[in-house]
Amino acid sequence: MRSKVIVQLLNVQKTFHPSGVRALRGANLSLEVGSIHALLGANGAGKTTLVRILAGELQPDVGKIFVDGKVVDFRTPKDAMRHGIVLVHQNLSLVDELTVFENLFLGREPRRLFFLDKKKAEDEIGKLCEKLSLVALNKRVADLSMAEKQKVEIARALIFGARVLLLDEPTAYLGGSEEERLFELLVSLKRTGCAILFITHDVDQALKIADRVTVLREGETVLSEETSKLNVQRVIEAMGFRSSEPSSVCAQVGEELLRISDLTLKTGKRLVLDRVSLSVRQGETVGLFGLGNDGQFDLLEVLIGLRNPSSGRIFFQTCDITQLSIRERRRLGIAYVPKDRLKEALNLEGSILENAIVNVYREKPYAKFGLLNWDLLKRYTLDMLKDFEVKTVSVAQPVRTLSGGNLQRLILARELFQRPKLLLACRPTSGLDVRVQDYIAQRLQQLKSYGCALIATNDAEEAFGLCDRILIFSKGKLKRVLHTEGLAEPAVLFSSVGGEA
Amino acid sequence: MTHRKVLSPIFTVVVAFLICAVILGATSRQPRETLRWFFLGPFSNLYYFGNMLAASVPLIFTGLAACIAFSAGVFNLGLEGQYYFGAIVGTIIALSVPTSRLSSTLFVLVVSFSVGGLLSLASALLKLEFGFSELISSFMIGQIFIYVGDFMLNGPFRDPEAALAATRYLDEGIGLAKILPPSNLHVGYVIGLTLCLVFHFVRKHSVMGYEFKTVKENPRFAKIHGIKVEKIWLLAMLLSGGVAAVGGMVEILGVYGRAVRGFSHGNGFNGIAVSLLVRNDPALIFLSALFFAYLESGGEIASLMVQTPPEIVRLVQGIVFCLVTAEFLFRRSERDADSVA
Ligand SMILES: Nc1ncnc2c1ncn2[C@@H]1O[C@H](COP(=O)(O)OP(=O)(O)OP(=O)(O)O)[C@@H](O)[C@H]1O
Ligand SMILES: [Mg+2]
Repeated sequence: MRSKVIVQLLNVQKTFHPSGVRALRGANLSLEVGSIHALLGANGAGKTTLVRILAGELQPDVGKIFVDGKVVDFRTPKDAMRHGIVLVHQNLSLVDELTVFENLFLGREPRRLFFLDKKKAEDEIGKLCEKLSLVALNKRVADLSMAEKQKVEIARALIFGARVLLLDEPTAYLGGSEEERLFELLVSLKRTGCAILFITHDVDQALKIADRVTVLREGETVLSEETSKLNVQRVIEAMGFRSSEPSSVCAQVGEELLRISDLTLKTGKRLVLDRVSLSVRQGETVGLFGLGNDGQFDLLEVLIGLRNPSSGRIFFQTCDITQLSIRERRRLGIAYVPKDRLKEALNLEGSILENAIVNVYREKPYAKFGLLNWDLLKRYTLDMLKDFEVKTVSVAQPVRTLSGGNLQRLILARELFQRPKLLLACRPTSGLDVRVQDYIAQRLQQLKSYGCALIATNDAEEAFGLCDRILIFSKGKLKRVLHTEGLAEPAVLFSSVGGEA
Repeated sequence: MTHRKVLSPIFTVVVAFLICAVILGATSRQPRETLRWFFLGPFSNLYYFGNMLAASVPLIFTGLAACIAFSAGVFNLGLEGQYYFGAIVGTIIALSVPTSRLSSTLFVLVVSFSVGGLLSLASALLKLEFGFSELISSFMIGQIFIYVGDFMLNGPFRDPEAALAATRYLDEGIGLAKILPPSNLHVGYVIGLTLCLVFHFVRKHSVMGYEFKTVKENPRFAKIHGIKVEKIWLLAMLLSGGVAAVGGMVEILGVYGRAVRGFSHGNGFNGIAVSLLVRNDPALIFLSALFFAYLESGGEIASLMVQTPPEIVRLVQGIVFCLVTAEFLFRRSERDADSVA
């Protein structure tokens, strides 16, 4: 079955200045009507750059883009939109303060609506929302879950008349069931004749959902094949990874590092955490799993000191840290990786250096008499980046020029490089390619020899892959404890949540 | 990118000059004479030149004050009130301390610093305690204290001998030394420059500078990583109000010799434009202060020589203000549109 090609990229090249990074050195891609296409590749391979070019946000140095067989030259995203090509960013671009409905029409002159049959337009939106099961049109976007926000973005794209939908790592923030629903939506869109391209790091997922897979490696297309002719092994090799068995070292479990007793957190009337008690020992990696936002992320915010619990106590080693400030807690050896990487874990206005030193700049050798020793700080950063294989040209570069995966590596590097006794991390491996995921798993193994980790996630595989023990949360309550050793597969987590809910 | 950074302030300045020239030329009966005095007057002799530099001194201080607040991502729109009221209180103290000692000059400066600092601190506290926007509250508190200052000059502290609302003259000994007599230029210029350079250094090389920058760019990020965001905001507001008030006091010690009603005439507000024009770069504030002072002196000389209305200069200042704020807002939205993944 040969279907119609709608978008085609030929030998696209792109070099970023002034760093001189060659992000793309000959990328090819073709999208067909009514098909789902997966774009894979290691961190920094150029995936995001490719879709941004396709969406008119960046201009290629060399290469041609064809839409419906004709050469096009996109200067702005509007040009691409006119051809029905819309990119949904990884960090969604919705306005939190507005309602879903208002967001749907953002950036669209209402006058154009009057040219259409207004009634028909309303009907259409109604139908669309029904199809996407978008019900809460009057809710503020700030109150939506990540999955719902994603849906609003997609709805927006469709209202704009998108026939080619580009999704940059759409599943990075989603939990397992949310992911399922997103893919159901994509499949139904495909049936209506849309061409869909999504970026992912999960090879299994790509092979399951997509009709065609393209792999980028260092800016070049190295594989583009129909899914039916591929297997996981081939795709991973094309990405440039050797498939390796993660070596699991069994660490000794030592003294108790963290104990929480009867922790309760209320925001307004809502009970976010309901009498949670737990204890973590040195050498353990404990997962906090909930299907959506079931309090597991809020618990970490309480532990680092961002929020005050309504009642309950927190003990670290032997001291009561419930009243300590964030700075004091960090000094004791607690590290924290927040959930929202772009808004909370990074200062996007700053350079790589400024982002890398935020935990140490005020400590002894780096600061004396209130003055910073930039040379020392630079060396510290370089060591750290080298250790965690973050690819950069210079540390003075703005941090926003790093690829999504490299940003995540930078964040983890910053928190792990200080050898914390307790690592609190939200979704540490989302957005990382397989190799780096293994690498992080290894790092967590090392951490066990002197500390412990608490990992909050809504991704069952992540919890399963990284943790020895998984605490299952549902609506702020700690429901069950599972030991991963005896378990066969991540799906057990869902059934164990479902069974009790 | 980088050349745009340099070009756009220059563009603003050129546009301002052009508008200025057009208005002057159109309204004056002797356009050539007027333009000549306006543009070349400040350089025609050392007296005018010194006066122009002297006129930039208060703007250096208020520009720096605005810059300090901006550097931590807060807004201090109460500069005028802090400048005015801080200086009045300082003057009153100066009238009652033993003079002709360096220590008493310093003491008076410290007093006005504290008064100005407290005024701005109040609005920072309102922001932290009740979530009031410091933009509004600093402006309103500033306005209130302008009136309080007027009252003090008109009432309890008015010199009965003087024809206008003003205090007694300060003793000669407490004033700041002149640099280019007979012009008004005084050592306050050097003090202002030094403070700017110190702040420039602090921003680049100190723990505090890093914290200011981080808090400005992403307060949530700063908080999560243990920076005490609220403390930084308070500190920035305190310093900002304090520096503005010191500017007022220096102006009195250096030029006026006593507090006169309305002596601030817009120097506080103009500080904001002075800082924005050079994108809040403390090392360049003296240049943009000079630009504003140049317009001011040019206008004054022209009105002296060929009787042009001095209000024209206010008009031009207003236009520059619009241009720099427009550019400031434009840059913000442009930055927000940039995206990463
Ligand atoms: N604006 C920019 N300026 C300079 N370099 C950039 C810029 N954007 C991207 N790069 C560089 O281009 C390369 C490719 O980046 P890209 O974001 O396309 O990677 P990616 O495949 O999306 O990776 P990831 O899986 O980590 O998101 C990286 O080395 C990145 O640092
Ligand atoms: Mg990317």
